[in-house]
Amino acid sequence: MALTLPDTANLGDTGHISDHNLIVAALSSLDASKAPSANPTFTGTVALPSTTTLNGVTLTAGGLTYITKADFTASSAVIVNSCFTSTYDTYLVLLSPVVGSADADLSIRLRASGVDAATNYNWQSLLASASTVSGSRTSAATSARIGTAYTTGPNMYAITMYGPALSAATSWRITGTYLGGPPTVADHAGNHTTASPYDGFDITPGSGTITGSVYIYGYRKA
Amino acid sequence: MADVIEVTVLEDGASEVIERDFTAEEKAQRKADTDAAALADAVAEADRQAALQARAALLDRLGITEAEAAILTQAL
Repeated sequence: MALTLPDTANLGDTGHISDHNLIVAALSSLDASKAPSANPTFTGTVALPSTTTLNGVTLTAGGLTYITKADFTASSAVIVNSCFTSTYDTYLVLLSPVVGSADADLSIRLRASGVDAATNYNWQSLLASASTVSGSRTSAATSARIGTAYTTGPNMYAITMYGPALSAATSWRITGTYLGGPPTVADHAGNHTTASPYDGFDITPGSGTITGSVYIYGYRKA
Repeated sequence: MADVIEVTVLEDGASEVIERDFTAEEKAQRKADTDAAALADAVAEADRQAALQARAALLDRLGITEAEAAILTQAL
């Protein structure tokens, strides 16, 4: 029912009794179940521009933008193509969780147009377990180490990667832990010194297979 | 179970997922990688054994035990 009120409706003034009666009649006819909720909810997806102004407040979209994901079960290799583009410079590759069929080292290679780059990987490792801290460096390798896919997972690795799609060297930082056992720091800083753009990557275990998920996000530039 | 899961992001933002076995090229590359890793491990282990032997020979020449050598290298 449409309800139209006069501009000067005054419920306490009996001189406007007709307005009063109109309002009482309208309110009585309202269906309580259709009244606005105090906590309205919305289900669905809304695409927002980089900034949106709502009631004078500027809302900024989140810094990370989902690109794609891959779920894998008993796989010997996980390949993601065309996820790195000129849209973003920095990416988050989230390998979480990942479990090995055997305790196996995980390696990553950049790839372009379906071909892996198999040279010029360098990385520094920092491992900390209880009071034992150790480090090591590997240079000029054929792939880069991510960490270990233990069978006692789930294990988690977050790879923040800068510039894979740029015509320059790519660098990354990996933070990881083994959730299936005692908390352990397993971090790596790495780079790939070939100054070429790459559009994807290839993750492989040194032996056996891996099960889990990998998510790829881009960091918004603005 | 297929060897590889391959995800390709398409131009419209959707993703295409393919499960497949390794190609002949990929198999050859993986064998080369495994061989290279095994060789690197073997070289590292040989270096470690050589270092241990050199250390043992030095301790023997100095006439001190491993425990005494540990005291020498202990941070004070």
